[in-house]
Amino acid sequence: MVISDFSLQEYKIIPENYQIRRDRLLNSQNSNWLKLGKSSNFDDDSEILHDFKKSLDYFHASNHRIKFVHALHELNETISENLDSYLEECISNQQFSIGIDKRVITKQILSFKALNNNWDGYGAIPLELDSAANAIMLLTNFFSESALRFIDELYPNPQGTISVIFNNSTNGTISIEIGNDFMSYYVEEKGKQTLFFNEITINLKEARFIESFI
Amino acid sequence: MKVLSNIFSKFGFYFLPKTFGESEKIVRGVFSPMNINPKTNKLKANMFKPPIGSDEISVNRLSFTTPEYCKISNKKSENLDNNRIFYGLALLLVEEILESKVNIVYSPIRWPKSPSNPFHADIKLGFYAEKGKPLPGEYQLVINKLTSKARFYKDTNPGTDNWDGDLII
Repeated sequence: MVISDFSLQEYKIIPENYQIRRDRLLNSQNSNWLKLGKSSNFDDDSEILHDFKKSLDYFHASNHRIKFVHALHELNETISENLDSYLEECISNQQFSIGIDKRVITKQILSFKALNNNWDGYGAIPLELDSAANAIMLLTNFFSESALRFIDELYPNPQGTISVIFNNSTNGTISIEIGNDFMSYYVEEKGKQTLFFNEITINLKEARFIESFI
Repeated sequence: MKVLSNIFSKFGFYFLPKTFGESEKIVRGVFSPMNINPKTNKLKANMFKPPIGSDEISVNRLSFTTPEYCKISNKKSENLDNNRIFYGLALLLVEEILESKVNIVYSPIRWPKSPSNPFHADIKLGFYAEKGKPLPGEYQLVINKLTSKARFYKDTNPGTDNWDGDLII
């Protein structure tokens, strides 16, 4: 069944921001969505679902992240069960990556190696090779994929080390600085004493311990 | 004292007090996109970390000079070949610096040192950075807190000697 009198303003999909900007729904939106949800299935050739599928295919092909999918999911709670199942299938098959993926992290760290002497104007040295290797090992080998979702910042430091900042699910902060031989970090959570850990060996056991705070 | 100071300033001699008022404005030049989050225009903490062998973070006393002077002074550290370009100024008040449990000292750069800068000061972290060694967690916290208080003022025309950013308040 096609909703002929339903008019959906353009969904603007901005890949760079992974957002859907929905402009304006006409004609009592909720009821129309409900109609759509109840009466259509994913194979329906209604224009709207067709556009959704095209967009999903586009993001799939270009390997963009799942934020789009999550946003789409949220916006379309009442849409057909079949589309919902399709999205779940995408997520579980990991056709879209969730959050920051390891490849992106590795690329970002490697990009810091392009920095020259005095890159900050105040005497900073280029990223140390050992610090880069340790950061890649810690973040891509020792941390789980789900932990990486909570990375807020990743940047080089003037003395050649790398910092990674996690904001955890309770708005706490874990700030780690990774060096040539070890890492140092602190864990700050609301209502709790800040914990400091200095000159810590970079290994799986320590990474798991840090993850317990994320 | 102020009259004398004004007279001497006309000849390039500046006499600034060694002590700082709490509401005094302090700025640090921003040169690298690595110091700014491009999406939010927020400063990253590496902006306020000292170089190797130092515990000092070089700043200017904006309350005694102008954004133009700070820009011209900072642009001397530019290197376009190495993508080191003046982006703008990071502002802190002295009280915000002191609240972050770090100190600030007046350290003018005078002849024969060059280039001279009578408005120069240093935020003293109290911990000397070493090559390839991470800062202890305690000092990371101090710097992160300091960074969270700083405001970034972008210069929209870094190629000129005029300050082309918002009014620094």
